[in-house]
Amino acid sequence: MVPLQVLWAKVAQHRANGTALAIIVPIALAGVPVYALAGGEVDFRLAAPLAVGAVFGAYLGARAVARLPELTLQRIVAVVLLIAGLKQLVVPG
Amino acid sequence: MLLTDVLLVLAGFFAGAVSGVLGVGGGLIFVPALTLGAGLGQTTAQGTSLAAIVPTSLVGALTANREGNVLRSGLVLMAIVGAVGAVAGAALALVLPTAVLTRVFGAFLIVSAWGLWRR
Repeated sequence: MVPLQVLWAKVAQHRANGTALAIIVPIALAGVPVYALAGGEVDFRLAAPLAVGAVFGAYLGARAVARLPELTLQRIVAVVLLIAGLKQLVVPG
Repeated sequence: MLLTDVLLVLAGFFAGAVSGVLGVGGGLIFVPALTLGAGLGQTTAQGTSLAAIVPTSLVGALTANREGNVLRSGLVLMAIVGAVGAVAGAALALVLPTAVLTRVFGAFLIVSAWGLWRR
């Protein structure tokens, strides 16, 4: 989602990341009941402590990233994509 | 039990920070934290990760929005493209072998990385 926005729609990196987050909300929200209906289990007891930590992290991360220069953020994203891509090729799944 | 919770809160914090910076849901870290840290099976870990992604991405998106980093004009279009892409991806996964899909996706990520780096 992020590379398509930046490379194809020419959206600035910061906005591409923030917009991707906004799109993930409804997709994940719809995904939980779909996943559960399809027979997958969801352990809300364990999701709770993860979410408690994560909302603080997400707040601080989204605040901090706003202060990063565009090029720096773009290169961080590029390195993460490269690692994720290589992982897919070397150890699929 | 309590120790697991503390570790999950810490892993969640780390995942949330990565989520807020990179604009990803956080599943990349949630899933291994649940399988390796809490001993869940892969499928339950994925569903549980999905549940944790909801509040994480919500807080990240609201914060990014306050920083002026959400492109509102593109939201509806992107949501439609995302939904169509999710269905198309699921349909493709039924037709194509997983090994082919992961390699195509991996190649897409590497080409994207190159495109972003040289901009």
